[in-house]
Amino acid sequence: MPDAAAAVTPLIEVRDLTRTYKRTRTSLRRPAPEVHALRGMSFDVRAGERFGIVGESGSGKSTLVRLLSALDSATSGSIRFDGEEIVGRSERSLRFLRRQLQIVFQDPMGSLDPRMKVRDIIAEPMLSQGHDQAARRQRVAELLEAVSLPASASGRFPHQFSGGQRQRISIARALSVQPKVLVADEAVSALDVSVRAQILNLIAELVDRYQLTLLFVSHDLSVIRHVCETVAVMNEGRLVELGPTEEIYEQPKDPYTQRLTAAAPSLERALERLRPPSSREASCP
Amino acid sequence: MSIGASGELADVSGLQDLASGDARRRLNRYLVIGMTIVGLIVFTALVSFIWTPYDPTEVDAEARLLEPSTSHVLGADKFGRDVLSQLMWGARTTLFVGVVAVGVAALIGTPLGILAGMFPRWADELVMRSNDLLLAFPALLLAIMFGAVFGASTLTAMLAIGIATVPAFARIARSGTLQVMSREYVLAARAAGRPRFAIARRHVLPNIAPLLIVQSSVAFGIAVLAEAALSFLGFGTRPPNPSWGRMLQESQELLHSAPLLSVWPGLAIALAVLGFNLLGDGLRDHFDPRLDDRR
Amino acid sequence: MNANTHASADSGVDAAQGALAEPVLAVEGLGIRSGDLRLVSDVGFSLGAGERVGIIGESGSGKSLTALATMGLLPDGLTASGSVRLAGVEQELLSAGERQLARIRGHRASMVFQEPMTALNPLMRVGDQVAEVMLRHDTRPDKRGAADAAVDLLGRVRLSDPTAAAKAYPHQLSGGQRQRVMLAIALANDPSVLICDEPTTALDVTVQAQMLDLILEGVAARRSALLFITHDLAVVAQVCERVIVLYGGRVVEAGPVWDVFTNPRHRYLEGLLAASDLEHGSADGRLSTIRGAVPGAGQFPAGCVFRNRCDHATERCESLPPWAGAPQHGFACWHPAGGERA
Repeated sequence: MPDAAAAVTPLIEVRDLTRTYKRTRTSLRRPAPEVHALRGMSFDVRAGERFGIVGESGSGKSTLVRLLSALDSATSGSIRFDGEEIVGRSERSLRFLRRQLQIVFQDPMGSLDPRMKVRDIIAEPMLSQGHDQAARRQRVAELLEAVSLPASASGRFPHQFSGGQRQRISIARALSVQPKVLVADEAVSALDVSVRAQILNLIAELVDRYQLTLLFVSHDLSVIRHVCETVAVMNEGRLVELGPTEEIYEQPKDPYTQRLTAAAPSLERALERLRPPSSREASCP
Repeated sequence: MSIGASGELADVSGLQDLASGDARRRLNRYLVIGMTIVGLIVFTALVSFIWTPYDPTEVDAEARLLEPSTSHVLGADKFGRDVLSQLMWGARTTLFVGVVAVGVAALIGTPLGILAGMFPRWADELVMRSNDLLLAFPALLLAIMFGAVFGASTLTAMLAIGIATVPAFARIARSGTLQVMSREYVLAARAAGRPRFAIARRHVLPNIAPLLIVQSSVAFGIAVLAEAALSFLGFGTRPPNPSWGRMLQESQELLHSAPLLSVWPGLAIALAVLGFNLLGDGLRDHFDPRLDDRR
Repeated sequence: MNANTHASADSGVDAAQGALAEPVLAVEGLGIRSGDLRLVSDVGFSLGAGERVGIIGESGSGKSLTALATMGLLPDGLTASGSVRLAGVEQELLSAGERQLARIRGHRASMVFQEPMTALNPLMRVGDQVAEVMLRHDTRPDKRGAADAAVDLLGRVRLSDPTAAAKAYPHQLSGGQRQRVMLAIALANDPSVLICDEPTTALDVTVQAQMLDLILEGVAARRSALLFITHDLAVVAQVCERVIVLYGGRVVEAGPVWDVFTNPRHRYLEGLLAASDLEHGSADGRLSTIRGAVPGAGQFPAGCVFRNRCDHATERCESLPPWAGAPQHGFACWHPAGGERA
């Protein structure tokens, strides 16, 4: 990345972000146990960047997504979006964020209301932004085309589509208000391998076409490596490592990151081990 | 379904749909049967405004305890009143009972439950604790109190039953709301900036409707039986207005000598409860778009 | 990972080995239908003692149904035809009664499922659940013996402090720990076949690696055959010696993992391997894809199940391609990759 980019204000600035939950009391004498979902995270995301967040369960990445999209409130710390502080704001004053940041969720089944038609699902974000019905219809048609779904899809219900197609609907919904930032929260984790490839291609294409900033959250390091140029590794609420994806993948410095890269299943590595001795001699690393 | 370039439609049914495909066809029949039975009752009630074989309140000393015959098709009770006419008029009472009791319970209980589910903590505590207070009152006791204060009648009795059923609806609505609120599509709606009220209207209500429909059909049955009990105690439908519940109650002392007198209203009540239950199930499935493909 | 090194030596001798040893599990012509819909057609494979075989497939391939059918666990409304035979059991498993199947399950053949929380009884202590499966099949003389053996098994699946773990309830354990308990239950009676249906899919990556190690260790120690079902190609390559590829309810290719994954013949497998390769996309960073989507149940085309998504399909593909190669090492494709059919 050219140094000139560093002079520009980052699109998203996170400083000392913390989120602590109180669990219900289990004993009368001791105070309620606390869950530290996020313990003081700080990082920047530049406009147009493909920023990956990788972590396992309990790492706090889902909490981070919710805080960044103001679906939950931080215990302390600050998040600046395009220069504006988000933490502690009322829902009404966050209207600008709703237009500029949208999310594609993990579960293709749970993220679409089974009782709504596809066109209403896709148009929903536009309702809060004051577009009239004609404009919404037009946009829905455009979006269906952009995600390679037939026009006839608009009158159907989610259950009539496969997992991959439902993710396309989710993506169309996210793009309906022309956001600047697309957050993909494990967006391909529930999909079959062949479908995953299609959706990843679609996301890459749309990010290019609309010059979006992409925040890609996943537990799968190889997917992040393919999609993102920068990656933040999270463990137990903390940011353990941050840097260019290739660097982190090839030379992880933090012991947790090293464990993660070592444990990630890789077809290439596994096949290497299976290689018959005869051909093994032929190839030398 | 055409299959061509990438991103085309496929009519996908998960394994669940396959297994319940037969169930869906059967249930469609439930809707039809339910509607038929309920329709029959409604029809009977409507007809009773225009014509009944006899005036159901007319006392006829000579016809006392008459067996079913050509003059009185279903017989006559201990006052000589025609059973069939009473049944027809009674259909009105039954429907009235159902509409008022269930209507009151659903219209008050559902918003309360949704409120409790959408605003956890303060609203939840407020609503649910008030609910518990109400739950503590036995329905019949409430009806008696109402009757004593406002004068006994079918209306006051049913208002009381309705209010006593509010907690059941509130609970169901609340638990359904909590489930829906935890779904990702609600999260997506919030991320889209939808205000709470819109989420309640567009997402919560349609998705908890099946629960409410089923609850309504159950509540209907309970209301009808409750009316019967209240009539027994004298706090329900005042004589001489016919009601199936009162007919049942009046026929009790004659169980040995004229058993048929309890069979007719009993059957009518059972049929009504069955009809509304089937209707409820049928409606619930009818409005589920996931079952559409099997029509 | 340790146990795979000997697999390479076996790959060449594979077919001969299969013929010599009597298979522990033999499935032939398995078909599963729901009413008129065919979900699985003509699936066949066999496992020898100690063999590790994987079944690879995406949604709609029928892989889970196949596993369930072998244990007689198909949901209501689905019927199975064909033959499933287990060594040491005279009766044909598909027509066996529930009582007989109950004697076999957890004893001669056991299964590990994907979701540990729903597979374990939340109201029973974990140690008791392990002991129960032993008592049920009379493999330990008494309660005391079973309880001790349970603690021992929990230790062998590397739960720290097995005695304390045995007293815990499922909700007090993490996902990875619960999966280990499931494994302990499955291996408690030294089954001759262990079937795993996506056992690590719901686990974190670091935990997954440990779980796979444990599974391999467990079956190696008992010379059990392993049938491993998953959608993850890398995991199959780590764990199995042979692999069977399912698509549309049919076996489209089978053989030793090395051969099949480095030299796929069936076009679906070729496409799948290319699509899963995240490291070597095209110049513009796009991944290779299989065009179209997996059809819904019962919507697969007649003839070759893959032909509506295959760039090499011709009229010939309208008729079902016969199996080419040995029963455990071959493919079903009219226009395979790597030249015409051998």
